[in-house]
Amino acid sequence: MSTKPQQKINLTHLKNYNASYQQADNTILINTAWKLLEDAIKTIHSKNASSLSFEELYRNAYNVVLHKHGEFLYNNLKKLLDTHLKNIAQGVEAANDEVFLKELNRCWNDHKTSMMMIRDILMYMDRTYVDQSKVAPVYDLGLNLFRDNVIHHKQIKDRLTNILLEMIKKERSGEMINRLLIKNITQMLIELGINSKIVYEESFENQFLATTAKYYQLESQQLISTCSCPDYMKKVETCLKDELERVSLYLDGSTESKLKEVSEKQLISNHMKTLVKMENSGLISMLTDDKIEDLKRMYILFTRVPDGLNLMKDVISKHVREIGREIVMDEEKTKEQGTYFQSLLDLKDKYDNLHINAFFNDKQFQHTLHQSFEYFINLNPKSPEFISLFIDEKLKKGLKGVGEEEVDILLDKILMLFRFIQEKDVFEKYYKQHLAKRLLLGRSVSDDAERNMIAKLKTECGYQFTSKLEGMFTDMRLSVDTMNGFKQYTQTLQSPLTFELSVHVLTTGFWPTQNTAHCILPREILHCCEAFKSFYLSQHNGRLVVWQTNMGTAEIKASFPSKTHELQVSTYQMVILLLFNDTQKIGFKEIAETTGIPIPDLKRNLMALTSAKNKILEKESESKTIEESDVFAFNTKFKSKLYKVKIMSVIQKETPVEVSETRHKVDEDRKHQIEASIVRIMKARKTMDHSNLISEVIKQLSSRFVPNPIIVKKRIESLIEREYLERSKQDRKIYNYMA
Amino acid sequence: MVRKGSNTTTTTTAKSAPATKQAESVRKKRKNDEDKVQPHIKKSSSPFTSLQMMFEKYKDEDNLMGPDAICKFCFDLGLAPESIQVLVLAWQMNADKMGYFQKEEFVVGLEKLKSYDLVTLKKELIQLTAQVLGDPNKFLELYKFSFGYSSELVNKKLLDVNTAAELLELVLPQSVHTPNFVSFLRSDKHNLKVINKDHWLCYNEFSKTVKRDLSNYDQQDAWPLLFDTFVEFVQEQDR
Repeated sequence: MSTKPQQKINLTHLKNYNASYQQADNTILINTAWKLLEDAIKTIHSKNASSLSFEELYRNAYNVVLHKHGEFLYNNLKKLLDTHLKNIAQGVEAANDEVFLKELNRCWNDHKTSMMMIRDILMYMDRTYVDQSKVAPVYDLGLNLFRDNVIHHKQIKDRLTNILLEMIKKERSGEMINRLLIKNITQMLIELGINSKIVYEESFENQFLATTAKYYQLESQQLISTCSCPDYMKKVETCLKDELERVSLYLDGSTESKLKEVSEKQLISNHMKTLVKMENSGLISMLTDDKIEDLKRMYILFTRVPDGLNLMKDVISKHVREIGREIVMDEEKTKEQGTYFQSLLDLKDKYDNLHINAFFNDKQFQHTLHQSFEYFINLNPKSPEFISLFIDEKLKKGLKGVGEEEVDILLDKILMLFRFIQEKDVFEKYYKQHLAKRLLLGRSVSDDAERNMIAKLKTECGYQFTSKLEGMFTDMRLSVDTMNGFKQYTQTLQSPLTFELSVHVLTTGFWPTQNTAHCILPREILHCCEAFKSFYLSQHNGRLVVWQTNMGTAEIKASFPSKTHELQVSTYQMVILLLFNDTQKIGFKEIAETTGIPIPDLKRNLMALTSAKNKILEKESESKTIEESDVFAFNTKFKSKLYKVKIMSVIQKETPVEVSETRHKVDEDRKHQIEASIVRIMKARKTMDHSNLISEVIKQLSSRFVPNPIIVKKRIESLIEREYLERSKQDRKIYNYMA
Repeated sequence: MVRKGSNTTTTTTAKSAPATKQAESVRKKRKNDEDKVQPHIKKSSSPFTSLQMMFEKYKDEDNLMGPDAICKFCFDLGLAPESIQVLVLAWQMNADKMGYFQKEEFVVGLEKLKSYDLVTLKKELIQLTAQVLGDPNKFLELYKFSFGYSSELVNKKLLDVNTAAELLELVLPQSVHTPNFVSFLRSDKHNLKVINKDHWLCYNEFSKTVKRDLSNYDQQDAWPLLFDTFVEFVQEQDR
């Protein structure tokens, strides 16, 4: 070191001969100054700083630097600190494990204090020499030297890490540790990195994360093999909370996200599948038992890790599909439409509840649930019919004495399920049939509820969907007016009618048309019908009136030997019974001929009349069914407590023929709708390619039904054949509209 | 190609070409003569007359060659009536109906081929056929024509499957799918009676673009339904 100032003197000597004396003087001066400073620093290190004069020391340092000997001063300082810290390191190294950290911490604090003082004394050097020659400032120099000599000391480095990790391990297993000490040490590591966290990361964090991973790997394996799913989740929750606390108590903030990731991976990600699938306590059993708290916990925990929610969603979706499938495919339940649908509603309620309370209204979960419901509801092709039947049931009796609001809620729920139905047009067909029966037979409990339902369907599916249904209501209203008019009209008639006649005038097209087989009405009834016809046609010229005898009802008085009863029967039954005014016994074939009632209907009605409950007619054979060879007689022994006797007609189940007929009608309708939709789209776009056209058609029609792409393709071909469309000459996948 | 129909005695009212039209074609002819002087035209004093005479030789009604006449003509020509060259001839004539050549069609067609004797005609036809088979655009024209030519149903919109099968064997024998498609058309499994023009045109594309093993066939694509069924048919067969 001594050669350096010498050189410097030589250099100046060359430049300035006159200065040579002064230079030699300077060398002595500077050496003296350093001696002073060196002693002072040593005094500081031995903690006797109070005896020093700050002003004097500063001035000396100032002079040295001013005379361009900054480098000399800096290097000497470095050397001095180096030696000092090597001693310190030996002291720390000698400390046993228990006091190791404390010793280190003490040395660190001392070092910091000394370094601050030294920095103050050498402030001028920091400002000029350090600045110019781009070396570390005095304080940072101290930190670097401390790092190299103490922290990175062979015998200290690993020991420090291990002791820290050991302490944390102790705390994890429930022991109390000196958190403040750890905090100081970690803080030290951070400070030693100066502006980076490299020292902290190298000496502590990396190993800490690795041990954490290892620790939780073992811990979680042990937990998962002993705990139930909810218990495990509770434990995990505590662990994660503890780790978070650990960071805030004595680790650097930057560790938080890393630590979270590591522990979540070990505690959640690695065991997600096992957890979810755990028998008797996994996700499925939580769903089954409505364990809202546990589900919530699972949701929160799984949100933390990638793919956690997806896993949950998948399992839930699969589970719901399975349950739904069981319901819709259950033979027993499908027989009882009421319970069938009620189970679906209950299922929906249950999952709506879970969705809101356990899954925080998560949009993706909702989507998954909807998809699952849609999937299984459409598994059973009878679902549209069953929904309609369920509504029918509710509107016929289920809603008696139920408040308006509750009705509204119920209808809304039904509608929720209705939304999942893909074949809405099939539903419409059935709803029409059921509504017609309700209206004509006066079975509906509440007109308001009926209208409410229609309004809801209208908002759901649009005006087109309900226009015919609304037409049916209009017909009913107009019929009331017509009947009032007819009553006044009959009073003006010369030959008064022998009985009351009530007629519903139904517009063709609005109502479900059944192939009406006419029955031959008795003369007196025919007379009334004619009277009405002439009245109606006088008001509405040019219309065609057709009687739908299969839908009517009648009340007739029957004198039995015991008592006279009033019988409520269907029109067909009335026609049959009136035959017995003239004769005692009639065979099946004769009845069929005289009345002209279609055989299946006749059989059904005769069945009702000969049923054990209301045996108006007696059948000679014992068989339960009606045979064509049967002979019927008026049952003179009929008895009933009631004056009014209602003959329940044997419930007309949709026959297989009718089912396929309905299906066929639906399919025909769809053909037209698909073609109309294709033409609409093509008319607007003029040219379009195959796949876009198909998807556009499906989109347009999805509010009513989901068309099969193959069927759409077929319709496109048919339109090509009929020259509404053509294939583009360049590309057969593109269609052109032909005006 | 000529199908020997059983209805040789058809009372087809031959559309006797109006006199004016004939005159017109004569005029056209003369104009052609002035424009292009070709060696063999020079030899014949009146090529038009030679065509007329050729027709007269074979015709069996006023202005019509029926199936029998065509067979005879083909025999003299040295080509089989159901050969592709004869189909090319019919195409050149723009013949309206299979098995029948109108006089006007005959004259115009042969003139287009610049053939005024049977030897030249045969040479021309063989040459042209080879050319057409090598040129996708020209082939498409021939292919399109063959549908209308062979179709006897509903305003030429439909072709019965047997005719279609025969026709395909004639025009697209080189396609790897043709044997299968023909047996598909002929099998009564799918209750196929007829195919329409769209099917016909798409088959040409199908035979060109779909791989032998059908691996690049996509049901979602714009292929007519008929091809979906066909592919299923082939796959079932292979199984």
